[in-house]
Amino acid sequence: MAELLHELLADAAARRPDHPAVICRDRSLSYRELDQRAGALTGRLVHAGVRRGDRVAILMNKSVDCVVAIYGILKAGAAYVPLDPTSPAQRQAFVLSDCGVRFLVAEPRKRSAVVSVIGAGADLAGVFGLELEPGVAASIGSWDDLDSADPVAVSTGAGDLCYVLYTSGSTGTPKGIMHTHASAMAWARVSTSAFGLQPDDRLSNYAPLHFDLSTLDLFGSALLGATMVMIPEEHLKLPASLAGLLAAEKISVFYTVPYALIQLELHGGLERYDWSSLRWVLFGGEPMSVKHLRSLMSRWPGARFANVYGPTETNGCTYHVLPGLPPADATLPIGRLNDGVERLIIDETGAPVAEGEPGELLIRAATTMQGYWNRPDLNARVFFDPRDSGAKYVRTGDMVRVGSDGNLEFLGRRDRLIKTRGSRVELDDVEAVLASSVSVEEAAVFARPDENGSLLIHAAATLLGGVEAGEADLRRHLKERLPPYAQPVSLTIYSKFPRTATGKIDRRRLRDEVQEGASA
Amino acid sequence: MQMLENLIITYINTALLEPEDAGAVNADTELLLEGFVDSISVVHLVNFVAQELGYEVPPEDVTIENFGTARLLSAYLAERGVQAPAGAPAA
Repeated sequence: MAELLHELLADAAARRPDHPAVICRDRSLSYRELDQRAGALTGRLVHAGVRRGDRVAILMNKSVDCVVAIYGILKAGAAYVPLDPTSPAQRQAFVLSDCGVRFLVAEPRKRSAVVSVIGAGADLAGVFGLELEPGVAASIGSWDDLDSADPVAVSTGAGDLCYVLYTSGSTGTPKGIMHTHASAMAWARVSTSAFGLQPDDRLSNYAPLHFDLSTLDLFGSALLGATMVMIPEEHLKLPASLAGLLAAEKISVFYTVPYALIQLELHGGLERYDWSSLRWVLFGGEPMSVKHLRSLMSRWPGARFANVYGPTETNGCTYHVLPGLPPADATLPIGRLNDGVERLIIDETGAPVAEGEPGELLIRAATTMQGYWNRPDLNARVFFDPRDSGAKYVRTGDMVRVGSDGNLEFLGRRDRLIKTRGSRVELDDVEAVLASSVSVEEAAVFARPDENGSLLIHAAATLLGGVEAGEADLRRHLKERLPPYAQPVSLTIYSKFPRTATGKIDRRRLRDEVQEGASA
Repeated sequence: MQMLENLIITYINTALLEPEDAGAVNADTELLLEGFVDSISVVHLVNFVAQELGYEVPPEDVTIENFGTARLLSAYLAERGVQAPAGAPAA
């Protein structure tokens, strides 16, 4: 049985050489072509000086060559570090230097971005995929010249790092989450088996590569020898184009984020297409609005829907397959543990809570990360060994409770459970109530300290198109459903929400945008 | 058609872009791929077309083929008989 991610590719290339491995825009690579092209890239990287254990960054828009880059790096015994192409050069340069990256795989259209990131302080020994001015960084090869190269064998172990994904840290400095071949492989196996994915499935790749959702698409499809269809960035912005692409490519497994599903339901023109190929809609990353989910389930009656839960640190650890249309007032559970996952739910003192009581979820599984790159301070806090037995759990920072039906219920981030003027409030509860208004498209609720150091609740919402509701209407909706202490002190209607790089509502920026005067 | 195109380019450059990018968009700039326009500013662009040019773009027409560049968008609108209003500023 394969232990390394690139062995999955080699196995698929041996089993189904001519089956399409990856499709993006007008290009497609079969498993044989992908394996050969990746092997040729490995040769270039090793020749340039990449060694086992190195980290090699990728700065590319979506294309079939992104996947070549990933496997080319893995076959060299190195870990890939995908940069967010939309993030500022300063942040990209921070990631490169924090992770000790010396080699970068890019593409010609990213020339000015690469020059900027080097200008912002990145110290690179070599760049593959484009020519740079002499003295900027050495070019170590071109995408046009990957056809003739002898394969290079590099010994790699299942405990070697396979990727480092940078996510926002609570202090504003990104932190690198390290996964090994073993943990990524465990997730590929667990997820494909949980949903019964098949070699003839066509998996979408919605998420950008720096977002952990992408790893199920990438390595799940390789494990199965199935086809992955990458969704180009521009489709992520236009629901009508996204819908057209999903239908035209006969996607059977669509793993995405709630925001994309809401946009598809509202603006995708879904009724124009045949959806008979679509059999799984998987979503995760943040809670899904039941109101929109219900409409979508009616539009896609042939598909099954599952809420997938798990932070980047652990990979997916629970999932909930919708048994049918949920009641309009339901909240979606995060469901049951994946195979092989052990959980612990603890209170503030670290003691296990009684069954059914809320507490922080801790996870122990083969899918969990090795730790944060170069952050012993964070690693000391994120791993928890309740009995000093060497059984390390990962703290998720998420509050959960076991429901009466045995399903885990997500209650919000630990730091989303606040005390405001002496009362305990779940900010996610307030948010869910606001989002349930018939006028609201999306809602965001967050806490902000007042001048006395206590926390006050603030709310923001975007309205559905054509709705003529005002702040007073939304206030009435909240007052009818929430106790006085849970009422937000400010409620702002936005025409658009700021988003994080992964498409989540940027609550931190909303919080910073609240006028000082509003917190009085 | 030229007027339409100029009007759209001016709107994108002045109203949609971050101040540091103002002026960066021409008729053939790939608006979506290069990140000049995101899913939210597309909505603003649609609203602009409705309010200033009097044409309601149906949601199913908000696609890469029609919104990928300013040139594509003005061609799409021109095909539907949309004209720049009299007295529109030249870019």
